[in-house]
Amino acid sequence: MNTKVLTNPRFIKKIEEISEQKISDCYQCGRCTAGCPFARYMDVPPSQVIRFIQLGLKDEVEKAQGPWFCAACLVCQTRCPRGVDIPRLMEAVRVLHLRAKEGLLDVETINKDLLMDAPPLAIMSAFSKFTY
Amino acid sequence: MKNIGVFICHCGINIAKTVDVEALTEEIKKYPGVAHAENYKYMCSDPGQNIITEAIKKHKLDAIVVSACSPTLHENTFRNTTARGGLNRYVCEMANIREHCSWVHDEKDIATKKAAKIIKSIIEKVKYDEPLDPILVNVTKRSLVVGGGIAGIQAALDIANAGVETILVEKSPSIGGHMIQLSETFPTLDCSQCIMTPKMVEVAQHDKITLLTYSEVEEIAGSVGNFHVKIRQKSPYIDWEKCNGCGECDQVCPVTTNDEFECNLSDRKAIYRPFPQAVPNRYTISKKGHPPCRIACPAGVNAQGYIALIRAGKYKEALALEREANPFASVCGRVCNHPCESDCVRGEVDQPVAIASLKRFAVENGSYEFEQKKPTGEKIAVIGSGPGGLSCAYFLAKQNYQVTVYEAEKIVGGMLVLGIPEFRLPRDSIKQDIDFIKSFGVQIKTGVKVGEHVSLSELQKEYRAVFLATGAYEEMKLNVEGENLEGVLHCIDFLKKVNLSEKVSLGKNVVVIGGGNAAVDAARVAKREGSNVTILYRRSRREMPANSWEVDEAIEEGIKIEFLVAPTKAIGKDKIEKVECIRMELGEPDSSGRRRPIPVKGSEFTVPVDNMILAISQRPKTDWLSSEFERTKWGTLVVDADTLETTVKGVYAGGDLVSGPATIIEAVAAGQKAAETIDAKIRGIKLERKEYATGRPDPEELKSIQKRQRAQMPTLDVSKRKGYDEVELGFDKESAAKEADRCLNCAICCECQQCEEVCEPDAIAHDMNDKILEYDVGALVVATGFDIYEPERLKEYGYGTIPDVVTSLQFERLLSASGPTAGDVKRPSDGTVPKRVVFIQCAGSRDKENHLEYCSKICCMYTAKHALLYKHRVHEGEPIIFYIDVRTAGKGYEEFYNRVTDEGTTYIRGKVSKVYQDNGKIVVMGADTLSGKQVEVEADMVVLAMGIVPTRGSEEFVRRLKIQCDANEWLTEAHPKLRPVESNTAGIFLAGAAQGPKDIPEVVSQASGAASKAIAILTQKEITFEPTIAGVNEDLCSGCSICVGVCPYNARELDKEEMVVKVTESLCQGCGSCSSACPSGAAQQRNLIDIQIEKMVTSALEEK
Amino acid sequence: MKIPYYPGCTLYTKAKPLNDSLHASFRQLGVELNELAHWYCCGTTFTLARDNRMSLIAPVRILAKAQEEGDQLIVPCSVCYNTLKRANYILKEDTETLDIINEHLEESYNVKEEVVHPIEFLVKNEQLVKDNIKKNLAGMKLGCYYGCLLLRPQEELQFDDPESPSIFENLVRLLGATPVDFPLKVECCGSYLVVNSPDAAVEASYKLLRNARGNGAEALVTSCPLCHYNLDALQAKMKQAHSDFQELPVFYFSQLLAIALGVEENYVGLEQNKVSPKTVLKEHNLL
Repeated sequence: MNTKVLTNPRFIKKIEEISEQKISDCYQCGRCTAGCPFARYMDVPPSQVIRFIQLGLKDEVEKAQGPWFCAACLVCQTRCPRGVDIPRLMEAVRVLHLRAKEGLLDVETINKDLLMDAPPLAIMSAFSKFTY
Repeated sequence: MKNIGVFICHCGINIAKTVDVEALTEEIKKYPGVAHAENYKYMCSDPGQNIITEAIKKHKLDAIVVSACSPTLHENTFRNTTARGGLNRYVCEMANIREHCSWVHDEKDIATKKAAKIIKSIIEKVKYDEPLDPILVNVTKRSLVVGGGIAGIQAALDIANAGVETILVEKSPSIGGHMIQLSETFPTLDCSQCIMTPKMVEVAQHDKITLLTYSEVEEIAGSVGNFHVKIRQKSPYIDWEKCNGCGECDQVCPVTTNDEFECNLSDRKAIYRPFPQAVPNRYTISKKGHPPCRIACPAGVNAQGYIALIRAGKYKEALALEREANPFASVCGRVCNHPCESDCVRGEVDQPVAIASLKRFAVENGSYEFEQKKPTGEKIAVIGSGPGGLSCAYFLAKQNYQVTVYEAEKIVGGMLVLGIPEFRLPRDSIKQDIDFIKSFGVQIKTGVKVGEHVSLSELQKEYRAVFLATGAYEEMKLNVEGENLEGVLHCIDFLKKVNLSEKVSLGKNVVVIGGGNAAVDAARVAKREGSNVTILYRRSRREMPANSWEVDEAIEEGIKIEFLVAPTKAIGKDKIEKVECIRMELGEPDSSGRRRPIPVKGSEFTVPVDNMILAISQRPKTDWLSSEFERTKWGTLVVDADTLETTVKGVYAGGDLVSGPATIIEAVAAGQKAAETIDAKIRGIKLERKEYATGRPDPEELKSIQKRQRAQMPTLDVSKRKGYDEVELGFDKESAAKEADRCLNCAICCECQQCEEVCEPDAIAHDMNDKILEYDVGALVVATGFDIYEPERLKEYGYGTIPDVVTSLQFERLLSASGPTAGDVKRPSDGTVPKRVVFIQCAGSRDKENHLEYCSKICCMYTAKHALLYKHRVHEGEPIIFYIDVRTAGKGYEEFYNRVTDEGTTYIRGKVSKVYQDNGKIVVMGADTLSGKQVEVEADMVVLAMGIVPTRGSEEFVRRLKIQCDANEWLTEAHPKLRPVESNTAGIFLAGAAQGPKDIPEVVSQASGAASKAIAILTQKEITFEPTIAGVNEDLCSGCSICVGVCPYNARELDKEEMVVKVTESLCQGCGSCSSACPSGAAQQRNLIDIQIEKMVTSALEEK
Repeated sequence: MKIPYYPGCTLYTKAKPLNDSLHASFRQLGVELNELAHWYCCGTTFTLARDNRMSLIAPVRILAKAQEEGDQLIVPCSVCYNTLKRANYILKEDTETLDIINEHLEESYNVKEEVVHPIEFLVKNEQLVKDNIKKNLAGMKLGCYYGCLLLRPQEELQFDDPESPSIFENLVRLLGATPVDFPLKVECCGSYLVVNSPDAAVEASYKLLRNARGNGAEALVTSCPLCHYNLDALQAKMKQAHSDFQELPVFYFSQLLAIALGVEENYVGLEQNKVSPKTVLKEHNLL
């Protein structure tokens, strides 16, 4: 792992391009993780995802499930002391995956009751986040 | 032609890396006028300076150019070198090829060319430089230290101990600053009070220190060695020469307000000493002028005062205070139109305080025996015993005048007894006030009609002054057909008859015409006489002049009101049978601001009636007065607005006679005013009526006030309102106390005079004014300190909504043995001991996006201390600290931090996102970034380690000083490393946290540093000024004075005799504004004259 | 008065009560909500990838249509409001992207359309609402749930203070009810996570319902169909997961507005609420 540190400027650049965020702005205070309503479902919480990006650890970022639990509620963005739009970074991570690989959502696997009951925009939103 | 020497410095590699110094030297050698040029690695070093002194001798140099860094850094160095070499120090100039060249360029070629240009242009300047002599100025041996925190105290003591007189100015009533609020101090845990109070006492006792607390510097002029300052000493409303700090006053003061010293964790009285160890040990009164209620009252009755006394259960004192400005407390407690309530600030929150009803309560519960007085002074006559006449009599009798009141009627009281029905104003209640007035020795002669039984001129002879207050009784006519029919009554006449228990017989149906209080009274009386009553009013309810609550009561009693209706004709043979009316609509507003009623054509209708009571308006009857008395077109008397004197000397007039029909309280005010002027006239003094500022709570304070219902006045049940029993029944003690508690204490001090009663040394001075003190001082130390960042701005942390979220400073007070809990850590909400306390660091700090970008520096350490002290106080307690970084740079700090962790404090690395309340618990949403986990903690108490900001309000003072601040308003030092305690203005030094966040040890050393810098100036007899200032060529000066206007230092003044501008050399700072503004070229700066600038520019622009 | 109106997909299906009650209420106020002809889906949740221009096309087409009808567009669904307003904000700054999109469309959008939430409209026209109230909601203790999409990002939406907003409370106060402040009113309900991580939505919504009730709310009010689903329909699951859970009715703001304005009951659509609000309404004599 040591050798991979800071050796992936292309990955960092790509994330910065898609998110329009400067990854070095983050000083790892952890406030995004602290306030995230879904952090407890995340194997890697937002602040650590950002840390992995800062270090160029592409594989670690790829493996992390954290970004897929981000509901883009923007609480972290509102409170970030460094003005980082964290949800944009999470989106960038997701988009990078989705553009290269398969989507994570299949209509067949969605609970049928939910499909009947939930408002269409819930389904639409989920598809727009989990597929490409 | 001068022999010029040029010395080029490498500045190590700072310059030499980007500038080819060798090539540069060669090129400069060829430049006209250059006799010698060479370069060296460090020109500022000893060998470097020797190169210059040697060269001066060897090459017979007349002028020097040192091409190196900035003049700010080393001009002084090289000018000293030049002087050592035997030349005048002002023929040495610096060419800055570092900041202006090597540091900002990368390419050697370009940088070298630019360096050459810079040097050549300075060579052109130095060619014209004249030898100059420094200016010498005497030094005023006195210093001024601004700010009485630990920094200011230390600086003042150091300077004073060097034998220099020092003035210490502090804006609050005591010195001590924030340090005296702290409990123990890190890292040694010595008690702040213990180490601080001896220093405070030393300040107070030092014979070289003049301590001015509760004072602020208002103006400053002059420059180093000779500043002139104006200091405003705010009025503490207590004579500090007399006050002995005994504290009796604070026991009796009925007004409480937030205690700033305790960070609002507890309350203090309006009269206060900030804390028991205060220096000076003196009391101060918090006062914001007069409250709006008092200002709204025409008679200036101190409503806030008597309400405070009622709240305190001091009913007698309340009544006495009421009667001070208005003898008719009982009357006005019932029937005043109370403009005080309209202006009551409580009305902006919910409803106004029931001021008038509280007044009545005090009358009913605080009555006292008054002793009969016998005045012995001059004799005064008052004509008319209404509220105006009797008030005037009362105020004069109080001043020992012998007053006789002449009343034409058989009973005393004027309109009070003749016009107002008993169910609103029982006769006993009027008698109470009249008895009170009589107790001052006022004689009342009833049944004596002036002009009939005795002439006015007789009275004028017998008495020193006469006050006319005969009211307005003549009823106005409606001017409609049939007005004189039987059954048409006039309101006042009707009320008078009823009130004098004369027979009136009304028919079944009565209409009352009019919308004033008299109309409503007449209607309610008619109703009680058994008639069906309708009021006809030509405008709408909104325009109705009668008090709205009277109208409500009338409606309750079953009186009908027809709005927008006016009578046009009374119809009947001898006796009225019908009234013809017309409907109205509202047009444009008239001169009274009310919308003018306009008849609706063809809307006439008739109403069968037995009586019509006209309550249109009244005017004074003045036919008994001679023509010497001037009248207005409305038939009222003309008086001087200030003195109330009529056009006949020695005869004064007031009340309805002057104003036309108006309110009781306005009549009282007129009586009061006349009494004042009569008294002043007789005593031959000039009367000054003081204007008071309006005090009211800040808008922010208003927002946080809980709404509370106004106390309802209990009233007689409608079914029982048959006779003339009083309708309003008055408050009981409980509801009065509750109602009085709704008062917001707008002016804080209510001037209830309780403190005056108990103050033995007689030190209270409610009318004390601010004082302006002026001093000359040689040097200043600015130590204005810091405030904590506003915690309310961190909304996500719940400060202000969750009572147990406190600031770090509040926590200091909770830890302090002298604090509100005597050092026990207790929750503000319920007083319980918190079992788990969460500390949140960087609250507001290191947050460039939303709050402060900088690190507040002290929070890591004080939070560690808080956790430790909490643990000491609550052994089983669990302190948890959320942090981003722990910064422990300082002697013994890391060791202290180790101790804190050893003794059981949990540090969690992560910034808290939100603090909220759920199911009665405080939930802290945090994270531990080290384990990558979200951490949610339930806490009993949360302490926000607030960032710090420069003292709020100090920016205005700093602006006056003309010293600089950074983007965060911290004071800027002259050099961040080498001149940390000096400002950019000579003679003004910086100490303490005003310059930036710092802890106590740092503050104290910086203060001593600033003091020593000040002492260095103050112990000199005279100081030198740079002579490179602007002068005036008097031959060229036309006296146009443009330069006087542009000079920012007030250094220029027009000599009107010679018509040329003169310069005060000690004030000129050489900024050059004048020389660029001068149209004739008369204003020139020494060694920077126009030709020099021209040559420098030409040289710099030359293509080569 | 006639104002352009964009309902969005959900208001014709699962959030029909929001649409019906809003239309009826505005009619009562003398304001006609003029639904855009042939509108499309806004694309739902706003894309956060800055290089994704495609997702801005739908909002631009809607806004371009709206600009022909008037300069304000009323959008009641929080998701649509967020998407349209954010797209608007970004295109104001990023004229290059706007030009590219405009070039490829029949319509040409001028970025001048103002996206307005009905709550903003109502609070601004306070007097109009006051004058038309038939049944005061006096005594009703309501928790105003903002959710994320009306508040954040604040610099783009300018709806209210994202940490302690008050506009919703002002509306509720206008209707005569007593707003109950609860600190989680600005936190997320779980949003679309309900689709593939339903537990996350159940837990998040449970937490904030409990917080609202704990502070004395008798019912919740919201404006977002997705929040409404999570908060209302998921209560059955919350009950299974938490024995202590007590139901709390969840209204659309427009349902309460309609009740206060005395709109006919069939427009209010109370039977579509999963947790019946009828008991609480009856308690306050509003049914």
